[in-house]
Amino acid sequence: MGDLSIQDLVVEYSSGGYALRPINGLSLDVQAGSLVILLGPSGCGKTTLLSCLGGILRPKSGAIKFGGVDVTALEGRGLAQYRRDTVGIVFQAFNLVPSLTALENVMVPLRAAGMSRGASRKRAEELLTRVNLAERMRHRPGDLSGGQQQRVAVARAIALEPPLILADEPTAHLDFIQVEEVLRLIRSLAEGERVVVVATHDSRILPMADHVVELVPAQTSENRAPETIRFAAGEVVFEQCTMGDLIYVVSDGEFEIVRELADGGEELVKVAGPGDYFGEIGVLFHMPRSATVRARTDGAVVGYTAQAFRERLGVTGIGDVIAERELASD
Amino acid sequence: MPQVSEGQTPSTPTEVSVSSTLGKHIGEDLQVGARTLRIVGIVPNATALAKTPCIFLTTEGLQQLAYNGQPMITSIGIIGTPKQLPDGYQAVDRGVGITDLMRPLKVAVGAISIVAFLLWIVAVLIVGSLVYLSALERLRDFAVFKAIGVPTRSILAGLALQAVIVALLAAAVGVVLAQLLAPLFPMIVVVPMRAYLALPLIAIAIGLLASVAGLRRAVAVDPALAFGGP
Repeated sequence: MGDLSIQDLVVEYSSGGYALRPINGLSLDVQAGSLVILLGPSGCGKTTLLSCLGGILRPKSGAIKFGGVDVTALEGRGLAQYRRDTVGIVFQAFNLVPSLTALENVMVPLRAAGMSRGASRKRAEELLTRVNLAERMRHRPGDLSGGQQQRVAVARAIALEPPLILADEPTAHLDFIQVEEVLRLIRSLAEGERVVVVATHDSRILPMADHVVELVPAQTSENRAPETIRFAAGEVVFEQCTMGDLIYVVSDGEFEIVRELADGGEELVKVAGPGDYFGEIGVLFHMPRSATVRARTDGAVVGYTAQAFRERLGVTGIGDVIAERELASD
Repeated sequence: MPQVSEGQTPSTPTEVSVSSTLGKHIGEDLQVGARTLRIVGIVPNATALAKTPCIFLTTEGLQQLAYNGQPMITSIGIIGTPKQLPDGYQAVDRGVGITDLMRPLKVAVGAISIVAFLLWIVAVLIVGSLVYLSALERLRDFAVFKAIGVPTRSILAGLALQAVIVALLAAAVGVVLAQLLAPLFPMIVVVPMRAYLALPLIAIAIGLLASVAGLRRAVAVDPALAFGGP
């Protein structure tokens, strides 16, 4: 069918009124016939990205193209058709319908595509045989093990031979024996022209990938000496939702810490004066910045890397910072 | 004079035939006002005004009982069309006659109609909450269906069908109960055939109306709900 291309993707949603961008300017190209693993800790936007690829979530900006079709431009019927015919999804929680048998669960997308009852039953039987569940077709999900349920889910995902398979944490609820079967199955899907995208935070399954995309790039923990940086009034120190590697201690002037709101406005969190510090949580925990910082007056800050900051803190260390205690003066 | 099931029709002013619903037997005396009448015949199930038992007397007997012996006749039932009417009489047809007899029951029939209407509202609420709860329970399933490309209208059709089936089954149970319970009802109730014919149609309308809340909930389901843990 074709290659998957993601250009400058930005997804924004409102979390408690604050603007949150789990994906901020992501670009990615995947060739047909490959298996991609999206790796990252929870909350880094893996599932968000899968939702966008599956035509379930609309990004704020950027484009997703699959086989020449611009997914972000699809609407209504075209979108439902894309979800049904182009994408197959394997969910973390299997998401089989509990009142239907394994066979009926696999028949759902086939019937939705307008196939007759008899034909869809025959096709579902073939698919379940392919995932080694010929013996358990009449069982309901409650009577199947996690691995078997996930295989039924895989059979459902590939029922209409979609050229794009999305798997969200497919091994999260499985023990290592069940994982083995499911991994083999998912690896075998990346055949021919098909693209398989697997989101996981489990780095043990990386060897099966053709490409690994780390959604939060590993920070280069290169230690540098603290540096003093000057800012003119109105200049931005860092922006919300970006990554950074410096923690700032104000030595002179005032800096305002503001949070961007989902409606486009912003909320003043606090004004930092000499001796105050900011930007520590994002750097220490490898998370994006939770606020934007601007110079309110002309001023200067000292930027510390995580390691330099730890050294400056002394023995009481990080605990004091998280508890928001004041820094001992130099 | 109606046919008697036992005994004979009254032939003297002191004889009376009574409705079987009165529970009396032939040969017993019946006290009506100041007069004591002898029961000579039983008329099966003769009631008026919602199960009030009827008694039948000779014309003379009725005149002595109700009109102080005055030679008065309020109405005469005839078969055919009268050529000439006695002075002071007017002719009415069967329909007008029935309407006139039913007039005292108008209040009772109105009360039953109001109760029936209220019960339909209750039915909408019960079927509606059933379908709504069932929809709430399956939100994740709906999200999965949407995520894998099942059109929303198919999901809605399923839910609406469920509501209609529930309403139709309830209507069928209602028909059976009506047959079983009608004899126990304190009034004689006649359910016309057109009521049975209209029932499935009303049930379908009720089912669809009741499913609106559940349908709105199903439309609003975000397919993104399918992602994430159990």
